[in-house]
Amino acid sequence: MRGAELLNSMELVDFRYVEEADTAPVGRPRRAVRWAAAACLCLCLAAALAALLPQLHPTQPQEPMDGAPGVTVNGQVFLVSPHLSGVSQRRPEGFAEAGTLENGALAGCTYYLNPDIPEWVYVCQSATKDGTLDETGAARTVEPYSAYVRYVDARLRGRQLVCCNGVLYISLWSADSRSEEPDVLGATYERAEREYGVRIEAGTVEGFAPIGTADFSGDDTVPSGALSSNVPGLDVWADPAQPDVLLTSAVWYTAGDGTGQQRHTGFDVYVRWVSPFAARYAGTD
Amino acid sequence: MDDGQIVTLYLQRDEAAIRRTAERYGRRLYALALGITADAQTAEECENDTYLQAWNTIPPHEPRGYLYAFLARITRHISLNRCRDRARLCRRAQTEALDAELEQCIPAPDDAACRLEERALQEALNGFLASLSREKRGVFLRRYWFLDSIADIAARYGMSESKVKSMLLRVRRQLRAYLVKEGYDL
Repeated sequence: MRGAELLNSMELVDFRYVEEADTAPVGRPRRAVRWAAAACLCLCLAAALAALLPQLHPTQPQEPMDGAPGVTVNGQVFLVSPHLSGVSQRRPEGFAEAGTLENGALAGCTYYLNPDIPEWVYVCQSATKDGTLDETGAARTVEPYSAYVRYVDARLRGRQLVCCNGVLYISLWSADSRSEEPDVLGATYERAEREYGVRIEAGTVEGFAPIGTADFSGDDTVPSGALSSNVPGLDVWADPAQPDVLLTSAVWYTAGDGTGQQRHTGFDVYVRWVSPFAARYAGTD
Repeated sequence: MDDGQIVTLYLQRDEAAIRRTAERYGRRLYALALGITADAQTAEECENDTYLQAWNTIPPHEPRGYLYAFLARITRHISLNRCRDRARLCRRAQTEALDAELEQCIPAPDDAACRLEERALQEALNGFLASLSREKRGVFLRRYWFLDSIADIAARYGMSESKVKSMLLRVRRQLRAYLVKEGYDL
């Protein structure tokens, strides 16, 4: 072994030690006293700037540090859609102006509601496609433009759902079992995770047989009907003896052993969606 | 958005995971890469490659409780490889110096017979680090994990540079003794 190899092997050390070394040292740096006066001066300047900046940029939005950008309408939290299909330069059909946002980064922006789709709110705001990748994989930069941006009920946003004969199921990947309005009760989640895991790498699973390809109900929607999903192209498998569980075919990739991507096939596990929000849709067609 | 939620986005194959990762850790990862490569463009490439690698390795990995360390390890690995692959990078001399420093820890240098199993080496390194005080462990990792300069470490820990150097020398000797004790001396 050479020094270079040992230097490389340092990456094997426990993540706890790396996190620990990247946090501020416990002891007070010896030079802290020397810099105390300068620090006080900086704090004063920062306070003065903080007071001045809002006047210089009165409408500059403040992106929250944690969580997806969101708005609150009629007491319900809506989070920005994770799908590009949620951004449109034309006002979506059926949505009418309903008011102006009063708080948060989007204060002053007009929002639009559709009584037939209460789980969505559209906000007319500045939008950009920065961060998306072009065909060569390079980050794309686009000037901000005015657009209608979809915000989705926080109880629905990001949920991968399948509706089978009017019964709604949610993928364990996307289920929240710990909030006040859980998608899946904690005990159910743990049992499913214990019995199946959130994902199964296998060609078949005993007892489960294919029942068809789910119709795509659209991004950020609650699917309904005989067999549909808000995830496109899902092949669904069911076991009559396990009515609370569905499987969907899945393909995923990992980095492999350094020789390129490794392809995996198997199933994602879905269990019944029991959120009170889901109850509104249960059995609808 | 916390680490757990970001990891969930990766598991859901939601491309927002990369954006959220960049928002939360981009600057720190870039700084780590820049410290190793000393080249802004290369550091940016290393940061972007880190996101791609994270996308490809979550799943099967699920680093909910240690996302930054997980990403930083990828950045470090990519940056070191870039440094070694491209002799034109001016920081190459720095990594060679660090290689030489760590060479002193190895009981039987460059002997194929003493190549360690990766897992055994991992256990040995972690066992050794666990035996150090938090301060010594921090100084050692800042030097050989984050590849900080002596001056940066001295500033971070409020020590003189000579104290940092002597502490690193002692810890390297301790590591060598530890590896010998663990049976790596032929």
